[in-house]
Amino acid sequence: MSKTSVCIVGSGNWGSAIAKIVGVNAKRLPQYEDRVTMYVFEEMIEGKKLTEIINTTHENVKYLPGHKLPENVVAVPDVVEAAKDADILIFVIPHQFIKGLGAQMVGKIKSSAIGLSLIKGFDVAEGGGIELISHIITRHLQIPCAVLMGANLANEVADEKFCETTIGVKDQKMAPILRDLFQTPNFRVVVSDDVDAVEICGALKNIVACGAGFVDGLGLGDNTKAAVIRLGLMEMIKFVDVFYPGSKLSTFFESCGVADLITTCYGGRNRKCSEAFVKTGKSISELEKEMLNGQKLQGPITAEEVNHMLKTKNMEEKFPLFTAIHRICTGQIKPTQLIDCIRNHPEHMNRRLSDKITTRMPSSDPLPPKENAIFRKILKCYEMKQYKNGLKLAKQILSNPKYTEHGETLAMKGLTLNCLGRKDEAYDHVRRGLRNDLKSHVCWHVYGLLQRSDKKYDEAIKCYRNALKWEKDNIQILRDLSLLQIQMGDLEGYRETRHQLFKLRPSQHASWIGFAMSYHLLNDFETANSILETFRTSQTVENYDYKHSEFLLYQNQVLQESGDLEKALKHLEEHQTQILDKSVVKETHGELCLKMKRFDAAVPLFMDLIRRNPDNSKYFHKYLEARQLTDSAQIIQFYKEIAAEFPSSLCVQRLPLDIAQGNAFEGLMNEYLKKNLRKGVPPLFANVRSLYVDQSKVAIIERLLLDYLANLPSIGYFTKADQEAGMAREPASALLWTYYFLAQHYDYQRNSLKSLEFVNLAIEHTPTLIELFVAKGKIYKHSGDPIEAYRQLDEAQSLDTADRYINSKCAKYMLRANKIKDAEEMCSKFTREGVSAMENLNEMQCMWFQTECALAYQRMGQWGDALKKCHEIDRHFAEIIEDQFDFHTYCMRKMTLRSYVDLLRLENRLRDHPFYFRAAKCAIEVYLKLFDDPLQADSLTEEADIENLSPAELKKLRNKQRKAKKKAELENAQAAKAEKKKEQYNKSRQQQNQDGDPEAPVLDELIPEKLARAEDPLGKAIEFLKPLQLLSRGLIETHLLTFEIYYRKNKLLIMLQALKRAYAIDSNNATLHGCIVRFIKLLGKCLAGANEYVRIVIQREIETDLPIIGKSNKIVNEEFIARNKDSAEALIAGARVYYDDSSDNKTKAIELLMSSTHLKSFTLSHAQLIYSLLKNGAFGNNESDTEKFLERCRELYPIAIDFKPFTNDSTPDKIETNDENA
Amino acid sequence: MNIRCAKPEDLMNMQHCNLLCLPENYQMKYYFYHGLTWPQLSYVAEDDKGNIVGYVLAKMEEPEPGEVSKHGHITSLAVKRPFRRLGLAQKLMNQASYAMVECFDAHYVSLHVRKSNRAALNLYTNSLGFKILEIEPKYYADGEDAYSMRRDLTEIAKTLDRIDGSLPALTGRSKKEHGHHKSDGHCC
Repeated sequence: MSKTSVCIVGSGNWGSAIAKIVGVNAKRLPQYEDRVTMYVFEEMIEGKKLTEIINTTHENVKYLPGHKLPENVVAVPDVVEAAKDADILIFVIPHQFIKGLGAQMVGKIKSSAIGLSLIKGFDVAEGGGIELISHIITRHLQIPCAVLMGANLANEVADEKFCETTIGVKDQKMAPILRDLFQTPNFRVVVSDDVDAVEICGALKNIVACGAGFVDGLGLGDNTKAAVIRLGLMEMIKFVDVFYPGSKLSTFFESCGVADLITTCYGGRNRKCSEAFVKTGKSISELEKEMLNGQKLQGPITAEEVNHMLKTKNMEEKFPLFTAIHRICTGQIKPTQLIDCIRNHPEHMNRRLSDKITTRMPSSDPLPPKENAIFRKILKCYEMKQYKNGLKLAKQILSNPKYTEHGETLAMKGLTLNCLGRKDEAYDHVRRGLRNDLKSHVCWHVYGLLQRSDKKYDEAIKCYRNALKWEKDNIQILRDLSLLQIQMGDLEGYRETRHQLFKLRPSQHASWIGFAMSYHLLNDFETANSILETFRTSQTVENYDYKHSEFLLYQNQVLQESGDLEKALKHLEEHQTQILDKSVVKETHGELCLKMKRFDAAVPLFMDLIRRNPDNSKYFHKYLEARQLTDSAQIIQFYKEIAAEFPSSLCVQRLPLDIAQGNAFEGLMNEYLKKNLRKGVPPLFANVRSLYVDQSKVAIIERLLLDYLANLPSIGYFTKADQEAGMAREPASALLWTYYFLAQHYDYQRNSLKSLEFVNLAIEHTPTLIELFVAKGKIYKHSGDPIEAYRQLDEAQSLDTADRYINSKCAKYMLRANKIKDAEEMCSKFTREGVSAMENLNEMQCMWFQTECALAYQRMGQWGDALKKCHEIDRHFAEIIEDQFDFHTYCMRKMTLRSYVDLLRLENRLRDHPFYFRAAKCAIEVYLKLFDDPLQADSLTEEADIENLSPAELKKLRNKQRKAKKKAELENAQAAKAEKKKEQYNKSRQQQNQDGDPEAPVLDELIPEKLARAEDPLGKAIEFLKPLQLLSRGLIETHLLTFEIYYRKNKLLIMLQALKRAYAIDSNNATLHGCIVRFIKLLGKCLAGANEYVRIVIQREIETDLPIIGKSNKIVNEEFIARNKDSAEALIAGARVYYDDSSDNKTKAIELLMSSTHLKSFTLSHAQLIYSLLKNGAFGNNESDTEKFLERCRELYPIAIDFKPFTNDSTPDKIETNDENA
Repeated sequence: MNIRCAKPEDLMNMQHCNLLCLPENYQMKYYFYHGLTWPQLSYVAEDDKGNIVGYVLAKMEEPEPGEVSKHGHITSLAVKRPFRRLGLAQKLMNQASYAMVECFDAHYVSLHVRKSNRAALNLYTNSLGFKILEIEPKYYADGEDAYSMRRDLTEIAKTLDRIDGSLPALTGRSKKEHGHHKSDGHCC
């Protein structure tokens, strides 16, 4: 057999180092030809040819100085000459030269030769994408090509320091031949058949090394660097999975993978140059010249090529590290932005719950060793997100007839399918797997993971519990379970799981904290504290840091909540030097002292807090409590005394006004008002508004202001006394601010005309002050003219278009005037371009806007649109609750436990928020309306009784129908569009899933058309009601809504319960009165036919809690009116009951209504209510009464548009009641 | 008017205030992230009814290259228009700065402001002692440049020391004892 002849193509640093090894082995081993040729690119070194130097001195003085090459290595300046006889061609040249050299060699080498590439990097393939160097060699030279990659820094290899390398070769016959050529005692070779992965590792690591270099250059430290390296590795693995599927995960753990990555990130030239890149600010090419003798740096080139691939696949975001590095190298972003780019790496997003499936316990249905090995690979593929590989492997097992129904394999296949977005198949497989192997914790765990990914947490909890039945100590399952339990508020379950985790992992901090917290949340403070105390004493803290400080504060919170104040105080005093947050220490200390009546001790604490924050009103109140000052004169004196010390404190000036009365109040208020009017402080009225609950104070304020008003224009002083005292004259603006204050003052009392008078005076005085137009708009709003109101706001916003607040207010007023399109357009000035404002506001969870929209749609009878907005708001709440998932582990790590416990408590009552209440109320009202008066499937078939209509009315109706038709068409088109969009969305989701993230379930698109035609409107209403029943029990409206829903479901007991609860809150509520009467009527009709037990319960309950037993409607009504004769609302409700009882009572009812208008409690909204009742015939047909009532309303509310004499339809003043502008 | 440290239940109302006042908005999760990572740093101003009329949302940042310690950063600061000219922004900022110094040993606090936002720029430079560090081109989503600004917190730290240093004064033997300042006299 002839000897194998070797040629090294290339003689750089790495080529020369490898020549040392290859030369020695070729000489030593008999199977290789002694003479090894080395192609050297000819250069002149100090007047001599480099080849000559090498061949005479046996040293590559340029690229590997200081090392002798074996004498059998011969430098040849012509590549063809060097390569022509070789059986093994070792390519070790910069990768951009490969094509040129290859072209020279084509047809001039042995056809039986094999290539071996040591070149790291790719080339850009024609038409995009990358091409591996070994592939290029094969393509150009028509020879197979193996690769050698590893943690082999050239200089260290040359120094013969121990290292490993990986050879990737497909042809198993060649494996030993190549291995032996390179293997030395200090250069250990592992052969792999995963050629592509081996090679790609070698290229990609250079990109990561640049990142590591940037980190070094930025001085960010070892942890950051390790994170960059790890994220780099994950991106490498992902890259291979996406672009070269079928590679093995184990390859990444060979020398070519993780080892090469580490060494390159610590020692390589890519790292070094990148560090210099940051530190010197020079360009990459400059650095190449200076630092690399002009050799090209591989990292930036590879980064560019990889970026090209990612870009064409639109995947840059999935590889934030690679992408950021490329952008830094090309100057698109600054190196300092590196960390920002990877802060939210997909790796961090996906791992909020571990997906690891462990199989420590023997399986209940074991596979034979070979299949079992494959099964383990499936698990690994799942963890590494190599889903396609996972499926291939599963197929290998399942295609064996003996194991087609193997439970765990089926389950794993299902889970993998889920990650690829194939949800239905996923459920199929997992359920089938589970059926086949009910005793497998793997199957149950998998089923749990599947449910969890669909956010079916309750189901997931059950699955985890089943899994634990078969393997009770599985940490992974326990951790997952504990998260689900705390998320779902299963506190008992949480405690159990935490206990289990604590027993299994007592050495971990989180075990202790979680265990203690589980007791705390169940209000077992003592146990919680004893766990915390044990933990605390076991800690040997050298430097008291923030985490320790937070820990102590948490422990103290537990002690406070336990009620053992003595212990809490002692704990605080003992540890306060270790707590950083001194404000909280002092607050807590002070509060404890107050609670324990140690007033003297509390005084300096609160004074100190006041010094820190003299604008915290609580501190002042607590201070006064500590001083035990109750006499108002003393308190006022106190504020006076400290005024000099806190000249800018708002509290010191404002708080005495709450306490002072009579003359003292007048004196203080006079000074306060004058000071602020003089200075021109726009929020002056807002600051004193809370005093208006006290009528005597209102009178004083009014008197003072009117006095200023009388004096300022004539004498230039607020008061005569000021003039006499010889003070400086007031600035001209003082009058303006006085007008402004008076306008707000009268508006607050709903005196429209006076308030308008003053605001107009103010505007005349200074026509450019935005606040005045806002005030004027507000006056119109309060006076019942929403159109003029929004016009004023529009004027205001036009004066400062850069201020979003004024823009938002304008939009709000537009919505109040049902001008939804205009409002959206207004908002769009501050929302992101390229998306509709509606969408952007929804994305940003802008609930005020959505609520106002919903209400506007409701007013206009666009039920579907109103419901859509309500559902969007409901989804925000669902999302916010979902958000807390990530914080369960996060807060324990950060030790911010007090805030975390606050968060948990908050999330439990999140829908208590007014935003939710308003949306839910609107949705329930709309669903009730849709139940009472359902829309036809096709809104066009609606044909009213047209016979009795006048021609004008008929024309109007036809117009309306035409409009409705148009609208329906539009809605249909929109629905179709939405459907299409959803499809695309799902599709793109699926595509996303292919490279990774098991995503949340896709929410149904909200289509107004469909929402308005819900099959079960009452059921939908109940969904909105439930959180209110749970969280807003204190609001009477909750129970009134409950009554309305169940009235329609004919559920007597629930109605009764709702009435009882409402009655307990406010027995004189007018709406409740109407409900009670309806309930009595209903009982009369159907109690006899009701179930016997229902009857008994109702009878008994009414006796005890509702005073309507044995009373007729009439009596109940008369008693109610008598009890509430000053309440306009009550009179209106009473009138309705009268009339509903019998139309004979009409006169009485109308009288009652008219008399209500003379009550002090009568407001614009009452007038509007009565008017709409009269108009809609709630009291029969009575035009003259309506006219009379209108007269009265015009007198009371001259500005309100509802009562204005009807002009004609085209008047721009008409408030829109149907959809868009015609 | 009341200025106090923000609690988790304030965060939703802070978001509301932010959406009304500023073009840069965030989802709730980001507010939670602030509130649960640096619970001391965010403050709110509420009116007499407890409505939030202004807030500062703040965090800590990792040290810049060449620095040893972390520094504070103002993520967002807003005061509703009807409550401006009371100095609320300044008060909020000062409280947040105290906490940054005390709990996290911050040496300076940074922020970004739109180049066109002259009112804010004026507040930061004149009332709060911020200095422009550099211009960050196209910092905002709409392409506007930002001023990157910093305020050295040495003075704030001194003020805090002074306040705490005056504690003995409160315990009886002090500068104010000879005055009529009775409130100081009571002590433990």
